[in-house]
Amino acid sequence: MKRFWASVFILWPIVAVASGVISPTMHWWFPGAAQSPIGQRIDDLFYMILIIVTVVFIGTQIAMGYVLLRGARDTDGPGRALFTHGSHALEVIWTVVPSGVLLFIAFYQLDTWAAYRVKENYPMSSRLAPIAEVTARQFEWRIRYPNPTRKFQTLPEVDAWLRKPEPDDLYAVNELHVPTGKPIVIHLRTSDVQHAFFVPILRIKQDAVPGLVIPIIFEVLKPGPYEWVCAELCGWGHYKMKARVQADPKDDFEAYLKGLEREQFDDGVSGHGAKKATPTAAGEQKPEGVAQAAK
Amino acid sequence: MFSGLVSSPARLAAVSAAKLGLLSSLVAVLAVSGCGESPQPKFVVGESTLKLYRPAQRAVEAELVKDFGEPNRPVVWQKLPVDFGAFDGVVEETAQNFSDPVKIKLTRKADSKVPMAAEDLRGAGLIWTSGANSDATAWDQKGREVHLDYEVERYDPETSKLAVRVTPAIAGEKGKLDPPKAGDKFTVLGPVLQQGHKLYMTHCEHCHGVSGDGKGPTGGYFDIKPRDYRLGRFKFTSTKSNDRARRDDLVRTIRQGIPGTYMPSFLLFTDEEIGPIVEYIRWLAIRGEFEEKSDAEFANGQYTADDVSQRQKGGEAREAIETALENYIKSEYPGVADDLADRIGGSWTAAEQPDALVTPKIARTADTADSRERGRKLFHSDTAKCAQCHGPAGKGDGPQTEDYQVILGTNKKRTVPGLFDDWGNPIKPRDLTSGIYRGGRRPLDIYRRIYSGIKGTPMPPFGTALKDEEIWDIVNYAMSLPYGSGSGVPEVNQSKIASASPVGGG
Repeated sequence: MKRFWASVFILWPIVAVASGVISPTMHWWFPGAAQSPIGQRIDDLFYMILIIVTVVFIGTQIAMGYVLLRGARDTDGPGRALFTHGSHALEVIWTVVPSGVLLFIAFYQLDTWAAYRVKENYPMSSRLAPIAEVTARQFEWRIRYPNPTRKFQTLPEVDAWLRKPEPDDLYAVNELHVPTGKPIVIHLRTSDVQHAFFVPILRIKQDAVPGLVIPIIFEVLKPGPYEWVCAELCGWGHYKMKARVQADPKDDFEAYLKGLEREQFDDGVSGHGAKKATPTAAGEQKPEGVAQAAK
Repeated sequence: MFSGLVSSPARLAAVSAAKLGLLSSLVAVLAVSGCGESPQPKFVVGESTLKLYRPAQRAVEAELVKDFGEPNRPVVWQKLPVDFGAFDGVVEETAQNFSDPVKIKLTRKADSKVPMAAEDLRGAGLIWTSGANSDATAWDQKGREVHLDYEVERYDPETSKLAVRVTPAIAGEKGKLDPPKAGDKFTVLGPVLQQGHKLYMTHCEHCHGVSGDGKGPTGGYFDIKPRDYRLGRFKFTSTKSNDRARRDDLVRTIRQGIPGTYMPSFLLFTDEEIGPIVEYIRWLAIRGEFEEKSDAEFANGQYTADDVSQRQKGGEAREAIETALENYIKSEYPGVADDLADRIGGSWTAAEQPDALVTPKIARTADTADSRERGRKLFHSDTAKCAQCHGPAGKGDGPQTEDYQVILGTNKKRTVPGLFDDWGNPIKPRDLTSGIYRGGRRPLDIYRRIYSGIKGTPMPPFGTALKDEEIWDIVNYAMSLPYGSGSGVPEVNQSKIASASPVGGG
């Protein structure tokens, strides 16, 4: 029986490691390569930690398996298991080594953390050109872009824009357009409860906290639509907060804002509204006699 | 303390094995059986129907089932201006059994235009138009599909294989069924509505209710009530004041949401999703209005429960009333119901016509200080009377909001001060300084709100009372209000710009 249990405890880490090795080939893995530089740095950290814990995991499991089997063999005879307690040297080793590892991780990740979370580190050009203010609410994302002609000279000017909408701001909902290829800043707020801005493929996740306007910086490397969800359970309609981040090259992004402006200031006559935002379900009334045709 | 365990490991193992076995068999049973068939959604009988005298009530309910069916098995009534969706099909191989999947060829009927996912036909009605199972009596003289005998069990667009089954409601009643043969023709009916129903039940029903009465389970918690479609009235439209909503209006509302309310944006819906949803909502609205108007007909004939008891007190014999009612239901009501469907359907058709659309005759007046000043004067004038409700500063606190209003269709005043909408809910005039525009923030949207009013609310239409220039002046003034110096800036209370670095994870 003791060998059975020893084998069970040895078997499961083997299964765990094997499944970890096989999973990527079956596409049961992480959500693909990050599409933002900060995301790649976060991925690097993640994989570094994954390697550390994998080595530690395999090492400790081998040691445990050895002890189990050795103990099973040693107690085959009439003898009893030897009870030992307290090894100063061992205690020191398994305190100092993990502490060293943790300290290494703690210091090693500081730069990445600071680049993402400390806004004083954001490039000034990005801070002075906020792409949008995103307001989460139950259960959607309302977006306000500064007019493309609006240039901010100082940070207090940006703060003033965040405090007070301006007449030529552009509004949208649930689809955030951003330019690719440069670090950009958006400002996140919520008009009710706590939400979280989460774009998995960019590795960007930030809580929206009532009463705060929180800047988020990121750069999108490749154009494309990216899934954008709420990552903080915000109420019964949490799942409805599915949205899209659309990253486009600079020219396309500017063209989008122009189109948005035309649409928003459409008066139905001047041709402002040449671009229709919503393709519609056509369908006039059915001609009579369909019933006949069905027979 | 481990002696017990050590002494009888076998017993322990046996006990845990028994427990484990019980648990896993329970899980297995649940997994196999599932949670059972989910209950079939049912239309709720309307409040005005419940007020009718019982036989009249039953007549209305029966008529509704005949004309509209049930939520997940709608009756296709050609007369209604609803794109139910239709495909013609031909069987291309002969099957062994009736329910075998057979290769078929499908063609969408030309008059069905609403975008839909063509591969999702499951649950749609099916009528054999040739072959052994064909049924020439599938349609009644009014163009209603009356034999809801078959439906699509599954359809695989890759292999073009379709399996048909007898509608669950009458399963067992059908005798021997002939397997489909090559060359048999059929029509698939109502897939658009079927898809609309499925999507509606997933995304809309929990607020707007199975019947579209705005009484879904989550709808009750809101201070701003979800739309009750049954008046056929939608607030934010592009049509004239007496016209219904266009499909485009509903599409826009669903895509953009209604800011300032609990209606969120469903921007990520594809055209194939939104088309069927809009069709289903229109169908629900028509059904609801048909029910209310039917009830009104009976109420006109004094057949509400209250009327009947009054009449009995007044000396009429119950038998006489019932006989008269029975005669009415038999001889007149079918015609009345037909007319109602024509009238209601006609009004939805009319809304899709170009002349229902409100388009300004002149372009927006330049947004100058002069124009705003003219707008401000009109805002306070006796012609437009905007300030009566929207208040002197546009904050939505005009004197009418504190007055006792006359109840619609009566000369009695309400006992509660304030404004109410047609659904009987208290309603506030828009605070124009908030910068939130429920029906959209385009100048065109605000023009239309002024021109046609907001349907179902005390906001009246000004299309005839004001000239286009005047409407544009008011638009310019109203749109300047959120940015006026001093009060009314859309600032979030207690909100401050984060001075620290971002916090929190997710």
